[in-house]
Amino acid sequence: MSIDVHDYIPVSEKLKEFGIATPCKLSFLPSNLEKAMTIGELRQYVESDTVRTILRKNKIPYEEIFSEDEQPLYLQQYSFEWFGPCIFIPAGLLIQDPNLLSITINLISSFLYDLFKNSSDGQASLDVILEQADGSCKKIHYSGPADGLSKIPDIVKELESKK
Amino acid sequence: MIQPKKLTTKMTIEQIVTYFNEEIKEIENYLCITRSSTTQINQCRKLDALQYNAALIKKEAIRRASENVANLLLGFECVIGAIRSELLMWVLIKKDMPNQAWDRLIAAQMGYLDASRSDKGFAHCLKRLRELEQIESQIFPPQVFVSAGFVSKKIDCSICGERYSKCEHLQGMPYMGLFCEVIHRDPVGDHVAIVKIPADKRCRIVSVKTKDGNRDKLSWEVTPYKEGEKFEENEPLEAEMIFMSMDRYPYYDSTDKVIGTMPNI
Repeated sequence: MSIDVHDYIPVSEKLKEFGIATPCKLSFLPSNLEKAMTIGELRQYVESDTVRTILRKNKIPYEEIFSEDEQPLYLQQYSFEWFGPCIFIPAGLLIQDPNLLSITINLISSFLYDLFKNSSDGQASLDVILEQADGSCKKIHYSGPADGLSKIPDIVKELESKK
Repeated sequence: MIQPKKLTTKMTIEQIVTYFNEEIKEIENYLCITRSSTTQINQCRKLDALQYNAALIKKEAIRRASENVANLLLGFECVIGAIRSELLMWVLIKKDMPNQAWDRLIAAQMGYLDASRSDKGFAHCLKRLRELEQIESQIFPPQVFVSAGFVSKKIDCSICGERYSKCEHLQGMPYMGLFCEVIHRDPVGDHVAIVKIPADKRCRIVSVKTKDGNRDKLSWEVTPYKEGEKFEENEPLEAEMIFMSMDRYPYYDSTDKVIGTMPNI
């Protein structure tokens, strides 16, 4: 299991370069936003849509950055790893709704428990991008057993408390 | 064809479960290498008929919109396919056909995993899956697995046909006797990578070039080069690989589909 926390590009600036407004709610970023030079290069994992459905079914609000017809290409990797989406948490969102991320992660973990059925090979990876009040961003990258995802909200809380 | 015991339309759910469990329990006695290949193939044909019966009852459950029963029958279909694949694996090993045996082993593993996802009553299948993973490591040499990645403009749901992002179904979960899968529209290849744990263990390096010919990674046999093929020392290693397998449910393959055209069987 590995959890890496590091600085990430200012998301609002990067989206502005592409003529896209910064979302106010939890949303899904393309997995390669940092490196993409054009909108056409953007990619999202297929499982972004799985998480959209999970949130919608559980009435967790999220915002779409792209319209239905302008979604980034879907990237499918055939590995026994579950490649989760890149979840974006705009600045201040967790002050309004402190449990939003932990509820979201719990729902994803519960789905993965059913999918992998406790298989020891069942690995998951997920990115959370946390925007700070000054527009800078931190990226938390998780890779490991599905049940370890629950550690992410604690790391985010720690980052929030350091501000 | 060897038929399992008669199934009647008036059976209750409990009777149906008992019927399949009893048939399966009897056939499981043949799941070891020492049983004769002829009797193992006979059991496979019995499983063909049993799977047909499971599909018939599932169809009726779907007609009645009874999702729990349909998913239960889906589980039986997976288990029946898994056991048949396992039996055929032993038959093929004894016939000196390791590549075909490998594919059956993986089909059996996929069948048991799918069964465990279909209904809570099949949770015990994970134990059998673990046992098959042990058989994999004890009978077969370690393999190098590959994983293909591709991109697509749009993904749809196999259950309702809607955009996957808009519907209520989740990939890998059972709905009315079927697993939800994602259908990729206009897919384009992106990359191939060597991975430790692939989604599909049928995707692997099957042979490598040596100075005498192509060496099979399972049998270790060397097939001499055909005319025009050559091996050059100190050049990059050339290997033959399967990087994608289109058949998501290989354990559904009937006995004849697997061994029907094979010589000496």
